[in-house]
Amino acid sequence: MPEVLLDIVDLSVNYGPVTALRGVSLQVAQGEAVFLAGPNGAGKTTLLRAISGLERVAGGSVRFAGATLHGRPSWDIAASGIAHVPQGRRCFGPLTVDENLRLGGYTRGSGVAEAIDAAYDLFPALKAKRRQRAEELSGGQQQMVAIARALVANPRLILLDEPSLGLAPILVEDVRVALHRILHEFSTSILLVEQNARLALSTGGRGYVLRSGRVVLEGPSTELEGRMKEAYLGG
Amino acid sequence: MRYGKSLVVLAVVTVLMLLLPAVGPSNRVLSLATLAAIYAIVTYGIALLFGTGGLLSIAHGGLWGIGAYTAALFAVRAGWSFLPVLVLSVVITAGAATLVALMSLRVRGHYFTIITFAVAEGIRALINAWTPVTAGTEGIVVVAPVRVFGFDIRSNADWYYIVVVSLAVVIALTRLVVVSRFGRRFAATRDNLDLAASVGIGVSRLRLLAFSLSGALAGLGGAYWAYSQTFVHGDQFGAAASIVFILCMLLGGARYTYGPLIGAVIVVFMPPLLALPPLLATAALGVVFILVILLTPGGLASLPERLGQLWRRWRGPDPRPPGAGAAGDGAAAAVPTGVAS
Amino acid sequence: MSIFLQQVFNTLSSASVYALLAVGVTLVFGLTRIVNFAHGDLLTVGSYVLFLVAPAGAIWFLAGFAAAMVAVAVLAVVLERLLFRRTLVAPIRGFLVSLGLIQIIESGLSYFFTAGPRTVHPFIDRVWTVGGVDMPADRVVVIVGTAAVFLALTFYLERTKAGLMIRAVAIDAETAGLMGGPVTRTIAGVFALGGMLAGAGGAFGALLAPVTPFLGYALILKGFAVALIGGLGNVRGAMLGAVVLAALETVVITFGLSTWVSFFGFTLMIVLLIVRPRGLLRGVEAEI
Ligand SMILES: Nc1ncnc2c1ncn2[C@@H]1O[C@H](COP(=O)(O)OP(=O)(O)OP(=O)(O)O)[C@@H](O)[C@H]1O
Ligand SMILES: [Mg+2]
Repeated sequence: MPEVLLDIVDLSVNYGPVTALRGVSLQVAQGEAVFLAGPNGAGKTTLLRAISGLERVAGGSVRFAGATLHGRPSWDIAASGIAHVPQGRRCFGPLTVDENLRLGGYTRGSGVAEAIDAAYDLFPALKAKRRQRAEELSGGQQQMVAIARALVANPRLILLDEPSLGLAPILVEDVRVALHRILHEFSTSILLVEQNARLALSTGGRGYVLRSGRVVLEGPSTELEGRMKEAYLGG
Repeated sequence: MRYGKSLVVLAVVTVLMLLLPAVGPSNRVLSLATLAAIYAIVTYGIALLFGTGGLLSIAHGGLWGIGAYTAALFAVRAGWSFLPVLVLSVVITAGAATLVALMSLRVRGHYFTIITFAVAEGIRALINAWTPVTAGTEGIVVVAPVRVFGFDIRSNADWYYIVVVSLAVVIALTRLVVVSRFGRRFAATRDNLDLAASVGIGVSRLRLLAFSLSGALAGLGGAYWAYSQTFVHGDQFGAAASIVFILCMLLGGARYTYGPLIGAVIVVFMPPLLALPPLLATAALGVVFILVILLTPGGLASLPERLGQLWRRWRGPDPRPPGAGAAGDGAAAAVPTGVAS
Repeated sequence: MSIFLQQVFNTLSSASVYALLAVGVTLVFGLTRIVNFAHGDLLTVGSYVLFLVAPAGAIWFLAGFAAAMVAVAVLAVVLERLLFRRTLVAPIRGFLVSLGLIQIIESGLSYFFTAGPRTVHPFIDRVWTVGGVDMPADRVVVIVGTAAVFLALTFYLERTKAGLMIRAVAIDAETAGLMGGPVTRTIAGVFALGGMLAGAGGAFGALLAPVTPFLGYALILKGFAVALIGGLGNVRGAMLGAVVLAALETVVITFGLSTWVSFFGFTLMIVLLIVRPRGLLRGVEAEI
């Protein structure tokens, strides 16, 4: 068993009186791709946001490469090697594509220019648009910008929140290829939130299914494939 | 009778206030008390907008200047008698407030508050610049004989009685407005404008009406100010005056029946009690203002309720595991979320 | 022609102070959504620091100018730490806090320095005349100095990593944090930046006209009007807005209506707010 990179134990998060996560435990090993599925409102986004320090943790612990994350501000967590591609892309619209990528490399001392080149290499379509404002790009291209921006940080773990949402099937295929290369060429571990079961299962690693803030199913993707539908529908 | 108890409380408070001259206070205390009551009248108007409708108006520091100048001009220059002047001040200020509302309610949030700030300062600038009518920065001395229902109003105590009785009426009136159907609909616009509009509440009309009502109170307070201070000039009005009223409101608590009154009494009596030089008194007022905003957003009148809550929480079991996540109450959560692209 | 040029020259010198004030207002608003009305008083504090450090002499002016920038930047950061940081969740409270600060700073200044007007004239002996335009050295220093300050600021915001992060936090603070941007420190940094600009504005303002402790109150509305003209949150817009307001004032004064200047100023501001709440150029959305 490879070294555990991200170790979440018994995590709870509340939004005021609403409990969004109750006692979630989840692990991602070094070099592993883990996906997280579940119906709308299950708490997938909340889990990623809690890892990144955007939501306040009400109980349990989040550890990354041996260090405690919960309770630390988001920028500390980013600097410790976790990059987050948020739901809805959240590109800096008025800034150029290049500037977006430079921000991705904010925590790095050196090698930003090379990392940006490597990211353009992964998404060649972006290179021609590098001086355009991000808001002028199509939704699919903005998703590429968001992923490329995360890669420039050279993270050990990348959190992706529904990267295929609203993309045309051909672009979903692009995302799938990109994820594959991230895993194998960039040797970055992945925690992927995905409703698109095909994309989720294609990563080949383990998976978790969340429902109403709890883990209701977990295991290798080959085993989960058949059981996901019933997990979604309840029972 | 549903409001019986509140009425009894108000009657007791009013009688207590009316007894003040009988205990033989100095002239100075009596005129300060009159001042506090005048401040309270204007503050109830501001609190109606803020406490119920969530609208923070800075215009009232200018609006009450309109009331004061209307009174000064018609009492001194035109020689009108007291009651007609009072009514005119109220009507004109309410009209001006309605105009302000028509302009400012087209925008939301911050912009609304900033427009009302500009209105307050614009009124001050107008008073100072329009010399043929307002005598500019020289001001107007208000000396006019006042008779009310056959009584001559001369002494400090006379003015105190008149203002306090008006204040009692104002308190009763604003409470009635708040609990009325109008008040409840107005409160619905506070929490969610779009929702209120979508269930068929005529948001603009409600807000216009609330604004003119609260302007009427500013006009009343302004007229009393002109008569009781016997001197008006432009720099008594404007945003600086609004700050004082907002301080009264926030200090006491905008959503409580006696909040504005408590606030006004403290704001008026604190500086002389501290016996500070005027400049330092102003600075102290600023310090108190900031502390109130940061520490007791509900105002002093909310303290009993809040202490009660704290007490129950301390006694009862803590609903959340102790200490968990407390360290995360930092920066990230406190930062406003920007515009998502 | 030379009368027109003279007007342009005068306009530019008062526009300089407005711009130094308004750019600070707009920067702080862009990152925090706080309308800081005490920003005008920061400028006044800058003037008084200059009076303390540099009562006379051109060389001393430089020292006083630097001291004003540093002192006001420090003051701004202290205020952010103690007060404004606590109001980030509800920016309207930050605005209210700034109203309280106005009272404290203005009465404090008049308590310690008396309420009377003060001036300095380190460059009084020189007036250059170029093409029929009289250019007092004071005003030349203000215009050239402001231009230099804004060149440096533009370079900082557009060409440095920290400047890029400031723009990112203004657009989306949460995502900026995900990039590793220290959001809290960036906000404090922007308060410092705004304070430096206000300090410079205070030092320059003292060269143009007498300063009283209550100047900030009168100035902030203009600074704010300027920021609004340019669109709140828009730095270049604020620079442009300063020229627009100064030109307008010059025109009103030329028509002999100087007592009405402030009334027209407020009317303009109200009209602008209603007609173009996002400014003539593009600003950020402001809602509580
Ligand atoms: N800011 C918030 N305030 C209050 N409740 C929230 C907030 N964000 C999410 N929730 C609630 O928390 C629960 C989990 O939401 P979350 O966004 O994590 O779900 P999700 O699994 O990502 O759903 P989706 O597939 O729709 O993105 C939902 O019930 C949601 O309504
Ligand atoms: Mg989600």
